Amino acid sequence: MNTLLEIKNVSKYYGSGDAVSQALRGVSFSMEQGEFTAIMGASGSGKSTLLNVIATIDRPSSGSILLEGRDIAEMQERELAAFRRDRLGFIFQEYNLLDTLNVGENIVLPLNLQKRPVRETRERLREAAASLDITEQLSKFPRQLSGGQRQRAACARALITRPALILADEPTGALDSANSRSLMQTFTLMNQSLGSTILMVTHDAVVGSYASRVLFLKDGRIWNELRRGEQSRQAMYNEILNAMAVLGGEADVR
Amino acid sequence: MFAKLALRNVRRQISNYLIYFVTVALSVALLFAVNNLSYSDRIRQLAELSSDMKSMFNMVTVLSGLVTALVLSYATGFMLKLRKKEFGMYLTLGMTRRNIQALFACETWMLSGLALIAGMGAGLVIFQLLVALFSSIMELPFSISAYSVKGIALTLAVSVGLFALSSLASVRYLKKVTISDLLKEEAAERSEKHPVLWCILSVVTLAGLIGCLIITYQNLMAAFHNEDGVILLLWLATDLVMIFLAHFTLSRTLAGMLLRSKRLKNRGTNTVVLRGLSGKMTVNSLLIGALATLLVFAVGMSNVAFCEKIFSDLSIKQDCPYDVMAMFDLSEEHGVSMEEGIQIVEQYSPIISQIDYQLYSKGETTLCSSIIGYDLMEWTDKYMPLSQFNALLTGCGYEPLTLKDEYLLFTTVQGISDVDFSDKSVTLNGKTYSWAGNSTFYPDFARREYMYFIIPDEAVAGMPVSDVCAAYTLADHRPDAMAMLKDLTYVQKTSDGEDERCDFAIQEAWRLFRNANAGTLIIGTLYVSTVFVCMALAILSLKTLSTLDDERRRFAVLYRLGADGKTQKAALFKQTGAFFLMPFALPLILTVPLGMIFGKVYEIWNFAGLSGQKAMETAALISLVLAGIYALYFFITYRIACEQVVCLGTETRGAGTRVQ
Repeated sequence: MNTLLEIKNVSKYYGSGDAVSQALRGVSFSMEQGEFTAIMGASGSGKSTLLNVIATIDRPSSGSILLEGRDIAEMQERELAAFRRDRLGFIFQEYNLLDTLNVGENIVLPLNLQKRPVRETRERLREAAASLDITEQLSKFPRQLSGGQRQRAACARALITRPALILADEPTGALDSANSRSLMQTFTLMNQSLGSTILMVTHDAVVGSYASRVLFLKDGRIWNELRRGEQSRQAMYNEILNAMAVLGGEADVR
Repeated sequence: MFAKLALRNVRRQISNYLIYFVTVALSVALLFAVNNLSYSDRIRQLAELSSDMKSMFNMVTVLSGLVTALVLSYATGFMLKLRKKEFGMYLTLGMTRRNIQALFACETWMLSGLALIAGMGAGLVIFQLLVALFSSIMELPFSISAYSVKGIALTLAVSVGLFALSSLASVRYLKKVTISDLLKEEAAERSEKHPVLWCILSVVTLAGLIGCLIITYQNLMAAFHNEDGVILLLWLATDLVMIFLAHFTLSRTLAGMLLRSKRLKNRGTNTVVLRGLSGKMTVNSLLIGALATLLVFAVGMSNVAFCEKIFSDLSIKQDCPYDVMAMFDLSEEHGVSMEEGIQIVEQYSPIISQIDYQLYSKGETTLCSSIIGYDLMEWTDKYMPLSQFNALLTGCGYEPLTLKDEYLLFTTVQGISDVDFSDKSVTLNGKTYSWAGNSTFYPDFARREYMYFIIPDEAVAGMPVSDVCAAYTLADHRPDAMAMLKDLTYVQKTSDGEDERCDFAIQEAWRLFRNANAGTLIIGTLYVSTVFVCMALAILSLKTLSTLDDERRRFAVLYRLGADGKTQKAALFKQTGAFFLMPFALPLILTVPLGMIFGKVYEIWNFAGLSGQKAMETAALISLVLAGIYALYFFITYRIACEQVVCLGTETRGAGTRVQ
């Protein structure tokens, strides 16, 4: 398999002088194409900071982040925007769908930013909506949808540009357990059937168990790593719980 | 403690309050300027020339007070809306309502106080600019005018009164509002629910507006040919209603219609811009309609005022072509005889040339009686010999007139100029003269007569003289006209009592009177227009700024989806620009047809050639001023919006990320 993402010795400091705080301390790991990785850890462990620096919306203080061999830490702002637009897909806890746009318009927005032709946009929208079962909802506005439907629409928006990497920040944070399960099945579908590479931050052990690999962060460092391999999701879940118990346990067990 | 906290809040939120501050300061400045103008001794002296001036200034003061009150209450409401969540939070943390009322009142008074000082400072300059403009209109030399204590006191009293009123309103709101209302999210602006219906209504109202404008133009032209002016006024009122309706309906549909174009919609951030606009314009459609109507009114009035001045300048040589013109009706008694009058005139300036001329009449009404629609009881056919008329014409630089067995009707009344006399011939001294036409083209040499007939000299031989007239050219074309006029004026007993009368027309006095009237009209309308435009733009700015929280969230999403700073700024520029332009475009465009219409009016009034250019220059000037004020408000708003909305990541702004 090809290495898609390489994080090398990434550190991130906030503040200056005596008030400096270190959110990431020399984090290193890599992801292969088609992997589904979850990052777990207690509050303040640096999960979101790590996701933000990979997402290019924050810059690391030191170290390098290579996506498809390009060091994104070295890119200029304009390049970064284009990089985010073309190579990354995002799914957020609060969906971040624009309330003024209908679902279809929300989904094709990244393609509009890429200035894709109308016909191609329409075709890709049809495909994405069909694969996530939201075709009926395309003309509705986000406020008319349930939380699960909104998050599926957000998934479709993340998928539509066929990004190299999909970044998900607590995607089930605003969903009930049934919708969380449904969303995770969607993630599995995106990963296994559509070949998407997914990096997800979560508190939830159940949600983490859907990933093929879980990285645990503690005090800005990678503390532990679990790989699912051939074992069942339940076994993975148990392993995560054990790891969280050792870690000091802020895992959200449902 | 509250003062300290309030000061810190004001400093922290200064960019949010910039529009409020600018608007209040500008309102105070304009109020200050007009109050000082109204109480200025110098202007009062000039005001003696124009009876309208005092009442115009009073009206303007009241109007600007009302507008300032409206803007202040709106701006205070905006600030409350901006801070309501914060106040809700304070209440949940245990602060009392009294504390919050005191805090907010302290903040608004601080800001208002600063705006009052800044406004008074700007008012000092604006007042002198108004005096300079007035002097320029009056064609008098400009000198710095003293400020009036009464004017300053009135400005302070009105401003403080208005601040107190708006402060009381906010205190009352904070007393009544529930905590949940303060903490509640504002409902999202929604797009139009019945797009097809509103689209049809838009097309109908737009077509109606165009139709109304065409009919108004036709009525305007007809009004100059003495048709009913009331109908014209009705059509003008209908135009304003149609402008309101067209803007009201278009606001609800325009963005929606553009969204139907897939090609346009799928380009970059256009969907976000158009959806944002659609919601905002639907919610504010009534306001947009009202502002557009107000702005069209302001633009129209400014055009009328400036054109009145141009007309006044152009017409003075038509209405009183010589420095002094005397006209004595021999059937009447005169308090000052022609000889006495000449002596008075010579006290002010030597006479360098004189043209004597007469009007002749046999007391018949053969020609006058054929004109229908005028009260012609006392009108008799009066004739001026061609040689005398030509002497007057050539003295004014015109080519002499040729008449062969013909007579020409001269009139200053547009309605009479259309009367057909082709079947009316006159026989004088055994010779018959046919009608050569009607003219309003030449200057008026007999100002007391609505009409007279120019006829070859032999026709009036032996006919009694009815009026003795003379035209004088003075060595000093601009003597002390008001004093001269006073000396030439006498009191005459009439059946109704006593009447002031003067048999001399002094060109310089006419110019002063007309300039005073035109100046009053221009200052008044310009002032009111500026207040309207500033108010409209301030409201648009506040409307835009009040939605920045929502915009910030939307643009943070755009940023994450790959829209860089430039793309976001472009989207914000389009969205803010279109919202500002909606009520502004038509008034701005209307300056062109208005200029053309006034050009046409000048043509009707015999000022062809020079007039078209003058009218268009006026239109261009008004457009420029409008565009300038528009640009000021737009760029302040856009800059604030850019600072607060455009997301550039966590290192520049916090809006782009949610840190765990």
